[in-house]
Amino acid sequence: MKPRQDRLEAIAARYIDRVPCPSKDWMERTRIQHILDLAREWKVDGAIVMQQKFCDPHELDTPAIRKALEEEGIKTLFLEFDVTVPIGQFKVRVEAFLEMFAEEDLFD
Amino acid sequence: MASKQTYETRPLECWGKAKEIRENFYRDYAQAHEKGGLRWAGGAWTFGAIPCGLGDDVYSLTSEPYAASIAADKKFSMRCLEAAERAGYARDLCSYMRNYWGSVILDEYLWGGQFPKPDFIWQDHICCSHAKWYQVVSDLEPGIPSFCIDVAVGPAIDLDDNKLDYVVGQMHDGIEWLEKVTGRRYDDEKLIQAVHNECRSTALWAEICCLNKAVPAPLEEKTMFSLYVLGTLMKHSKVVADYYQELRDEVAERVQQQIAAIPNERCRLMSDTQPPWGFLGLFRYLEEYGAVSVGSLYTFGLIGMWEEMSDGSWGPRTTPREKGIEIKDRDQALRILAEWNLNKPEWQHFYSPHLKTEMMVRIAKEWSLNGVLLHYNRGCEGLSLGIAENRLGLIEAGYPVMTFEGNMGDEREFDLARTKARIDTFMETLGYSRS
Repeated sequence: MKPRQDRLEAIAARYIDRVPCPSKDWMERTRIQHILDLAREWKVDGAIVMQQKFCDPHELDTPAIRKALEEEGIKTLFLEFDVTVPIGQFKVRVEAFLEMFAEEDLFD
Repeated sequence: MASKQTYETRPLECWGKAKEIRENFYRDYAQAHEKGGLRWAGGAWTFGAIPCGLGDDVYSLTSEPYAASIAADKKFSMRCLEAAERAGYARDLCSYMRNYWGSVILDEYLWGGQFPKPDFIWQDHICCSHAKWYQVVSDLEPGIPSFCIDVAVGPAIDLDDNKLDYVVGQMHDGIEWLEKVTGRRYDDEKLIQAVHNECRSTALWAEICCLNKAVPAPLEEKTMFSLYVLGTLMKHSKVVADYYQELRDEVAERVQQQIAAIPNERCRLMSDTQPPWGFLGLFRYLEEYGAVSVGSLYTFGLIGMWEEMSDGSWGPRTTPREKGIEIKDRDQALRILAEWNLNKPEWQHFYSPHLKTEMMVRIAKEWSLNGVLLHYNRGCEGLSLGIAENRLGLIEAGYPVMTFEGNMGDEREFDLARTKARIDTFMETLGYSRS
């Protein structure tokens, strides 16, 4: 938080400037650029996009986030869960996702 | 328990005019460009009075009623839903959004031809997905300028000048934005007239709903769905305000003459949230038991504006004109418009289910209900928010409640036979049998 003379104003500015919950991220989506910056900075090869069902704001951003990442050459794995988490299925899918990168290394 | 009295019934004389207004709305939007006019899109709750200041040739498409109309056309709706799913949008998202986007993706307008792309988007945001709805529209139809007003400032009981200033400030910014994106000069007089129209139409709708306190009820909810919808299309228009005045007069006359919505009224119910639009025949099924759904917080308070009357009952909100207020300038018009809308009954439960329960119990008492049907609507998380809490509150207040699961706009999530079976059990529990 950047200090200001008016401390309440400083707190408010912090809330306004931080990366928002997707419910408050409009009209332009600021989260996507933030995600792309993180991906670049940490040199990631792939991204796992998690989605808890019935959280509409996150679901509304998912197609745009995956598109933006894939346009940058970052592969995505989409995992969707409800009140229960299908750990076994997720493990299989994540392993397959990781193996996909290993396969690319093999043929480089 | 059940009275065998039979009431006289007849169709509404002004029914045809309601259909005509609705048809003109969708046609005028589609054809706006042919006459040099403008098209805008936004939700049914958006401040539609504000774009009126751009001229008389500015037409809107309100997204929820458009999507509900799609839902009633099961074949087209299924194509729309599947198109949205193919584009990556989750099936548990608001089914209005999915129907609307599907129509955009398919590039098909429900009333024929290609989907008429709006010139700008004018939205407000209280439900967590309202602004996001149009973010996706902008993804699908790139290049449409968008403006959205955040109205999530808390419940009306806690409204103060700071909160009002926040909303009104955005409205002022919005008018500057409208001038910039359309290149048109803004006319404050047209805004002022639209604000008066909106206050008049939404208070009149509440007055019409109040007339349904009468026994027998002059209107049943299936019919009310087709009437309240005009307010969701253009509550700010003189056409709708004048129509509601005519309707109010006709319904008042029905009350006076004891003209009933259904001839065998024996049991009075209310529903909640949007119905499964493709299955409105459910309301006719209730009638086999002599049960009439006299409305709901949804049909009363999505558009209708209310206040507590001097006798403590719920009645139509007093309009600025009735208070002797003449609006003189833009700021005053916007302030009245903001305050009016922030008191909307259906905006209150976003902050606490208890506020909604209070209103529902009030309706149950004042409209003399025997029971309540709650639609656990998977298609609208916004209006279903807290509905299980509402059920408990209603039961505590002494009203029998039947719940059924469904979806307002996705027929795959509604089971007609099972819902009818629930109704059978509920009605039998209440002591009613088929006529």
